[in-house]
Amino acid sequence: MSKIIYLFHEGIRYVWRHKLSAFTAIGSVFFSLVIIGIFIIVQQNSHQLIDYIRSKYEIEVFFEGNVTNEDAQLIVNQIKELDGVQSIALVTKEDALGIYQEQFDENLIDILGYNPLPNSAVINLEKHGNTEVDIGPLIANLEKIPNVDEVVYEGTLIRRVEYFYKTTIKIISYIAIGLLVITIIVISNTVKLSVYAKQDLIQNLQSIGATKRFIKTPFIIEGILEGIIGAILAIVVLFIAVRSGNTYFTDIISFKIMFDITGIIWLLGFAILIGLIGSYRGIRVLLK
Amino acid sequence: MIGFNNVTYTYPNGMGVFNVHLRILPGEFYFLIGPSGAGKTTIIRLIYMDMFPDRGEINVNRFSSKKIRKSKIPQLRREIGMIPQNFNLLNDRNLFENVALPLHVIGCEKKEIRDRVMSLLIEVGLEDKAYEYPRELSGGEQQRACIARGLVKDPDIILADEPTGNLDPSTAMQIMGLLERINRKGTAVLMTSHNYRLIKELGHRFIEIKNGIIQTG
Ligand SMILES: Nc1ncnc2c1ncn2[C@@H]1O[C@H](COP(=O)(O)OP(=O)(O)OP(=O)(O)O)[C@@H](O)[C@H]1O
Ligand SMILES: [Mg+2]
Repeated sequence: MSKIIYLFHEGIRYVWRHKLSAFTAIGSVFFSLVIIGIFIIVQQNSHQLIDYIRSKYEIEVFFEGNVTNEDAQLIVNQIKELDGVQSIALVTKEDALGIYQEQFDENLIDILGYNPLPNSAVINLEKHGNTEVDIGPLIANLEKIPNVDEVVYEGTLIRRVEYFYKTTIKIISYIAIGLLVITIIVISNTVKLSVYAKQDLIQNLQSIGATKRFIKTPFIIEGILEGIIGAILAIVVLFIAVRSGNTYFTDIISFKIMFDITGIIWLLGFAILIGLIGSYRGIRVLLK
Repeated sequence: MIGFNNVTYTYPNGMGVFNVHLRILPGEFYFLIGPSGAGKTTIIRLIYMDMFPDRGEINVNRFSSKKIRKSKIPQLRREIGMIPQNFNLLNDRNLFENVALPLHVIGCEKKEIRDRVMSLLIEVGLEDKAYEYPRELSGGEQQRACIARGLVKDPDIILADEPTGNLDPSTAMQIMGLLERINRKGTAVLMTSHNYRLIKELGHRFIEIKNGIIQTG
């Protein structure tokens, strides 16, 4: 136990002894985690946005003219069971007539003497979370159903929204990975410098019987500490930014920007990972 | 305790030590004398298994140079108190921390570390300088700090590589007195030196080495 405390203490000391390079490392962790944090916040909140847009996706199904209300209800029940369908509402001929009258202020029966509108149904799609919504298979299934005359949907819009969403996520991930890699390299260089600067100490330790692990541990703690310090700074800055953003923009946007514990855990996780990989890379020079 | 059985070690340039026989018994004070470049440090390094013989076998306590696994070397070194030739104290740590280092390596408790380090600093007469840095000390003081560090974990063997090498005669005698006092408490001491006069007066067992070859036994 006292050994662990000692090694931890040594780790802090190593960071402190190389203030300048530690500062660089912490700074670059801070910078990339702020960017990644912004991505996480955007992602968490664009969820709210994309869910909103997706809730507007609708498919309208028109039945053949000779389908009765009872038959239409049967088909609706059948569609409800299909994959990707969240809910379905039957619009009977009579409903349609009412809607038509409301919209165009004309009574079709007065004009034509009969109701030309078919039974139809409006389908809402299931929410998919992160995955892209692909309505292709559902449309195909709908068109196979007998007595379905026409399926109407805003295919292009849905495809565009989904494509845009997908590409954005992809680009963001690439940038995030790039930043993580750069930060890992910066940390590993810091640790490497620290190892070079401590040749004396390392030789000393070896000659008095320190194990490899004893020699390595403070360097690893050094890297992880730099990661965590950078992360804490980034989290504080993001937190303040989100808070002030929420107070200033409440009138403009309808939802509150979220930066919750999940985001914080992600950032800390990244930081520890960066520190760990970075310092392991750094102490590779310490072979033998 | 330490045994060399027909040990040869050659550096790439052909220098080294050749066919060395050596036996050091528990509690013994043993000198290894010889001129500069004779191979004294080489023998010390072989004992703490910093390198391994080309031929022959070295036994230190229960470890054999032929059988020891790499992962066991730290364990062997923990049983030896090293006082290296060029006193390599760490310049960024005060005396207390320097002397405490071997105890941290074996994982002692804080209080035990305090007690042992302070009692050793008292023993070598450096208790007033515990919080000074090596740079602020004289050569003799640094050497005494190295001895304290070698002794702090209470080893049963001390390897002292020219502990009096760079010191004036009176400081050298002081160091000798210190090592003898330690030896009287039961610690075996192997000390190297090129100062024949110093050794003759003390009357301990010694062997002489020249050009890597043992001269007398
Ligand atoms: N790492 C090395 N590589 C090559 N040759 C070495 C190495 N270390 C020592 N030697 C050579 O081996 C010989 C013995 O060296 P060693 O250090 O054992 O001498 P020494 O008796 O300790 O001398 P001194 O009294 O000056 O400390 C010397 O000739 C030296 O040049
Ligand atoms: Mg030497």
